[in-house]
Amino acid sequence: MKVMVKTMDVMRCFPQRLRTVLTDAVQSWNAVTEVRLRAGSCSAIAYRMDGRTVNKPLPALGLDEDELREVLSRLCAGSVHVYDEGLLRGYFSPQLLPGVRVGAAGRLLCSGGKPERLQRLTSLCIRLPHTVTPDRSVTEQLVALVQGAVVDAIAIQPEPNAAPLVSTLFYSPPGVGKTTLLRCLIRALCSAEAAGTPVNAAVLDTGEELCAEGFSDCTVDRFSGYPRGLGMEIATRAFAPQVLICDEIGSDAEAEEILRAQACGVPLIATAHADTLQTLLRRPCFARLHDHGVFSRYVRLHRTANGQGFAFVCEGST
Amino acid sequence: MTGKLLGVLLIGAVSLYTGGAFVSLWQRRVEQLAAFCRLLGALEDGIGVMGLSIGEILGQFSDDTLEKTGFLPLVRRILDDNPTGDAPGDAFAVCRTRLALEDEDCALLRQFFVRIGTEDRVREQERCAYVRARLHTLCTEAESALPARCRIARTLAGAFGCAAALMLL
Repeated sequence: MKVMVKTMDVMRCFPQRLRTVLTDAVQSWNAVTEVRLRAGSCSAIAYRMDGRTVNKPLPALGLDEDELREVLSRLCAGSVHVYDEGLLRGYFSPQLLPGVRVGAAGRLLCSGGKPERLQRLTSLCIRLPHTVTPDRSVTEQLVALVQGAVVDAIAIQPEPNAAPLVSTLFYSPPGVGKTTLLRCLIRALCSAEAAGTPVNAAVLDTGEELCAEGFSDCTVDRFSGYPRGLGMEIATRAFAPQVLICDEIGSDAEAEEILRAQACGVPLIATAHADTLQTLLRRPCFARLHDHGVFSRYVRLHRTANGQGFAFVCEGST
Repeated sequence: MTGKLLGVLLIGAVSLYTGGAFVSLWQRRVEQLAAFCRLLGALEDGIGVMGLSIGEILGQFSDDTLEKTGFLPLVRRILDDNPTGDAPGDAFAVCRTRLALEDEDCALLRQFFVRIGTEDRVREQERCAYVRARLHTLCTEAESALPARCRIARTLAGAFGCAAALMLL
């Protein structure tokens, strides 16, 4: 596998401090697939090694928004305004780096549901294109597939050590602690101390309360102020998340947006207000999501008898 | 006596030159402020109306005053060498000593050039318009004060020259 864009061209887009940290973080830039820069949460770099993708958190980077904006300005050759449309769409391809896709997220100002301005920048995801040379037999099978021929399914090797997440809906009456638990879950999955490799999560933090503080060591991209569907679409197109996380879904419009975006195959972890599974599924939006098999698991939360802890009841799996 | 006469002549020449230098400095300040106003106008139109990049706008813009200060040639050269860098900010920092601007003018322009190209179109247009309005005010004030200042400079220079000459004689 070989990176298609020159390392020097990519490095020129980073200020000197970042260049030093990024150069020290990997042995060979040929293997780097993504550079994720985050303000207020943990930056990371992804590279291929021994046939698998390694996500390496960079907690020491400690970026702030001004530094992110400087990187953005460099990527845009000192003219961010030329990429206005791309920034509102959530991703763009800089003219300086052909083939590279840059995802940008932060706090989005919307008017009438339409994005107006990216007010704050908190995440940049720079995805570097690579050329791969698969086996000839694989190439021949791919060509045959698109020509309409019937071929045996191409064996796909799962990545070793990858524990797949499943789409899960946590529900409870108000005040039990769904948001608190969701924050704990984000830290457990995404922090540098997480068991195994931290997961890259896209957090659709519409109300800006889920990841407001205390996530500087977590590999999360925050989408603040984004309509759910738009946030999911941008996240899956430009940020390659391993999981989508959002709090308190419950309207028909949100269900529509989730249905549109969920065809991407990225697991979704969400919360909702309800006291029983039956009550939950009686609501049209959740009935629809259930019919389409969006969630593999429904988990009811409640407090333990002494009120100090939480208990989970898995009440339905698909 | 000859020495004293030579001294008087020298003092007179220096006084006239000094007065003239101050006048020239103030005139150049007015010209340069007006030139930067024109540059900001071009940036505002180029960004807001035509959606051009900073490099394209500066490549197309031409102004004798700014060419003479070296600012425009330097910013174009920096853009060619390193398109990802902060060409306007770096060029302004280098040319600062060659400009006849006062500290207030330089602070305003430095802040503007360091941040240019980092925001969306609407915000960039607003900043261009705001800084251009501030520069225009400074330019207008400087221009209206220029005749009086020139008179004072020439008068003072002449008076100093005469006083020094009288003391020498």
